[in-house]
Amino acid sequence: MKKYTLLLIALLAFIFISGCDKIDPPYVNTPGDNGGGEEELVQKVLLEDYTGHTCVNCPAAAKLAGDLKQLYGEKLIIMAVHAGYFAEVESPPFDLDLRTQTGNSWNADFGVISYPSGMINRGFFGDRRVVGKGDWAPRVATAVGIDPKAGIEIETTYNESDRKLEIKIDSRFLENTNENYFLQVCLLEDSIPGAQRNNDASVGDTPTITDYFHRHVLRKGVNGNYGEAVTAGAIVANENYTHEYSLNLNADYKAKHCSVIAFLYRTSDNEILQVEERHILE
Amino acid sequence: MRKVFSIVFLLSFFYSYSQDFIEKAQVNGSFQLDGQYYHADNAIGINDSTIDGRKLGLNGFGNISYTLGKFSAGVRYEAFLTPIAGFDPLQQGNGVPYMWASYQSDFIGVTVGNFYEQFGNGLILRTYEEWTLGYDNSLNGMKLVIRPATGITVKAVYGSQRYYWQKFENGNRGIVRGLDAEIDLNSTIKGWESAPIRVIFGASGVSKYQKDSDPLFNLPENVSAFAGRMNLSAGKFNFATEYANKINDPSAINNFIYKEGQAVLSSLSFSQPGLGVVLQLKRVDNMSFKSDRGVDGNALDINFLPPINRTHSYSLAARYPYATQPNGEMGMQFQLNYKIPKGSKLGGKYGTGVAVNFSQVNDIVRNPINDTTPVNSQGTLGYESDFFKVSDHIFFRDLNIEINKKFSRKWKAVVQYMNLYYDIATIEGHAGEEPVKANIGLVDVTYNISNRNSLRLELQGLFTEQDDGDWAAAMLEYTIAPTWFFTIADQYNYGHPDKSQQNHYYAFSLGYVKQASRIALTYGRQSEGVICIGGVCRQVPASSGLTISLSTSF
Amino acid sequence: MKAVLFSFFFVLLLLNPGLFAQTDIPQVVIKTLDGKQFNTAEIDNDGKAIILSFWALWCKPCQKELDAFNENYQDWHDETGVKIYAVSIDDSRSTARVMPMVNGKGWEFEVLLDPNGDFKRAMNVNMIPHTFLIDGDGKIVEQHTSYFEGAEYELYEKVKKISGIE
Repeated sequence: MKKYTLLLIALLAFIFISGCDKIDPPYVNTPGDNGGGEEELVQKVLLEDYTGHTCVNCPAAAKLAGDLKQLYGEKLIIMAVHAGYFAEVESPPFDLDLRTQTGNSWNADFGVISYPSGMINRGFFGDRRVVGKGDWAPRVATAVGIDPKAGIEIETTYNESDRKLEIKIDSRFLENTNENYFLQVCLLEDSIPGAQRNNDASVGDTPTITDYFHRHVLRKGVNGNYGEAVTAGAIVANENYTHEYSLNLNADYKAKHCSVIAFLYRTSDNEILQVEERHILE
Repeated sequence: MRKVFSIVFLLSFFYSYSQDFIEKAQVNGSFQLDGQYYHADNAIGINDSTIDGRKLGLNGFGNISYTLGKFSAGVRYEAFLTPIAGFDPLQQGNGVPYMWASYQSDFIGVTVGNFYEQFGNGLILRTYEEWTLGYDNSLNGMKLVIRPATGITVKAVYGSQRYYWQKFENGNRGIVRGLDAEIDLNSTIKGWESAPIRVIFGASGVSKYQKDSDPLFNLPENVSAFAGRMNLSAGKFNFATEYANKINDPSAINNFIYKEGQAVLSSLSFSQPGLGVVLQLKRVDNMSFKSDRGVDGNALDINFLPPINRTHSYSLAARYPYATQPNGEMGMQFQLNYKIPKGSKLGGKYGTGVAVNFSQVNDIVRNPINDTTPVNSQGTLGYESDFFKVSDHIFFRDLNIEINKKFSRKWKAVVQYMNLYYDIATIEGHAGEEPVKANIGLVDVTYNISNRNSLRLELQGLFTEQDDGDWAAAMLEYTIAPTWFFTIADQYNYGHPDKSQQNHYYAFSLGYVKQASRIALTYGRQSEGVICIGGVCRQVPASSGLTISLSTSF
Repeated sequence: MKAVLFSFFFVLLLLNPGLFAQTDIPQVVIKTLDGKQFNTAEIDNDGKAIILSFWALWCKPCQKELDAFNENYQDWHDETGVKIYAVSIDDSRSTARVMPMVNGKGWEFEVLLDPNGDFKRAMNVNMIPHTFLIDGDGKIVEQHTSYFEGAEYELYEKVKKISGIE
């Protein structure tokens, strides 16, 4: 009997001595070479951050998104969707309404119930679609590593005098497909000043950051909440599909902070194939 | 793999017990169904869009197990179609999430499939389920228990944890491995059997493996935790303590800091017939331990950090329940139970029970690791914390006194007073809201009309300036033992700062119990609240409608 | 796999419907109040009846039931020799308070701790209080969930019946 005990204790020692990964600094990986913009098509990734101004854990998530942006540069496109309970209008300073009809319907459709939550290319990654910020980084890393299957080009013309914005989008697929793809176009405004609840002292003041900038805020679904079909028929490889839109920029939006995001998604599972962003003044 | 195991088990026992497997075997089980039918109730903020077509919530399970001598096997079927309001939408689904086979002898016990296990107090490993919360973190793998000598137990477990209905595949969450050994010196050492001091030692280690696929951080793929415990009892005294330590485990919960974690739980008690006193102390520092570092909800916990304050049963007393803050807290709890003897002036004919309970939980003190890094910055060691320092920030405090008195064969009563401090900003995440300071009083009177028929009246009041303001509650219950019960109850939020929300939450229930079967129906409103069991809490939205609960065991 | 298991139980049920009942006490290792391991197979009363009741500190009706048992325990024990085991399913947040509470209340029966619900699950207890009546041969003859004032009298009638005292 003693033998068994000794054997088991030896096993215990083995498992736990070998099962320890003590990490030494530096803990954070430094941004590497993001690869050039020389190749014709670059796979880009959309990180949707569902957030709200009274959500205490949201600034830390926004910071994480920013850190990922630092790491991946233009390969990562961030869109903050203000929706749900924590985005509701309350007494000042939380009287800013950043919710949109488009954001509200996505929030309901994708079943976002806790905040911050995010989706990476609206993909499941073999698991769940909507995940907490802890799962964002590995998913973004996986998603940027995929070979591109389509490309998007955005051209914008903005007329300062009448605030008219013209958008032209060219989509191109590398292979023929019979699957249905939709093009969704959105207008974003960056760095909107406002107040934000916060509980992370390393991000800012707690419990309220009074001079917060809401980043990458979804302002409008340019072509509705779900976009429109890329083409009526089957998609042909290397064919250019052009869509044009025009709108008047809301007087409250600062043109120098506005950009257009376009993404192609498969209607069967809503997964995003490719995404692009362009500043309207570029 | 599991399939192969189960088939081997089934075959081997068919072979060896082919005559007995019908006559000598036992099959047992249980079944439960909780259903709610919702309707719109604009006064309490429920309209058709909040219900959103989900008019019916049904949570149900059926357990069935087969036992033949030392062999047993069982399954549990569950269906949440759709889950009752307040349960995680990920709960929606049906199937057999729990299936096991096991062989137990005095020397060895083997379990394959899903199982529940706890090492010591659970500070580094506890898998369990709480039906009412929809919580289940069972391990799916193997468990081995060996008792090499009297008083010595060694346990080894490994597996992956349940995450709602999602299968474990492609490393989508971590793997858990654990070992635990316990020695009861008095049973092991000859001559100590009847020693005045009883000594039990235990030690355990748990390691989780999860692949690092994070581009930002250099993450540990293997994270270990260790714990040691001791239980000393001598006469009327009992002392128990457990210490746990965890190596760097950056996660969504601790904001990806690389600090080690610690937890200590100690208790000292004295008791003799008629008197019991207990003092408990606890410290938790960065001790959330999950088998998926990315998950930040109530799931995939490997360990259990018990909140040590009293769990209240009366509705208003339980309105503000505390949940352990895994990132750091220091708590204490004191309880005195005294029975004023029969025949004394205060004790009366039957004696009077008195219970005094006090608990307080504060934050720990966190100091920056250097001058340039703010406390708790991700990708750093986070902070430094002095083991003995207590922060001024109070999370929770509860002082309550309960007197339990039987006056005669017909009358008895419970009276309770409670003073509460509840940091709603931290506990429920309502940032910026003032802590709730409340006084709660209640009376519970029972009148036995006859041996079988009795009436019980509960009156409660909760008085506070904060949150939803003052509440009053009344409940009248009529029972016919051992079969029927009828209740009528109302909770009235008469002090709500917004006059339009000064609502009544009335409810009528009736139930029928026969042996191990119980059926209960409730019609009425349920106020918004929090249900906590153990360290896990669930936000329950306000609802209105009909609830049915059916339960049976066989 | 699920289909295999379900059909297995179904066949068993057809072959012998009588086996679908809780009769023997399952063997599970739980703890005594001073932390010692206790095998539930040791629940025994020398051929006399046993009342086994699951309870917890947070369960008011459970305590009312056990208070009622305690008031009558002396008389019941003298008349029938019945023994009461009260199994607390409190987990580690409150196990330390169980012994002081039991003593503070002056309960005189055996109290056991089932901190992770292993015995509770093996006995198929869904809700507490849940009380079992076990005869002199260690077979479960009755079980009841919930407690209402006065239910102890009915239970005691059954204890007397299986003890051969009318």
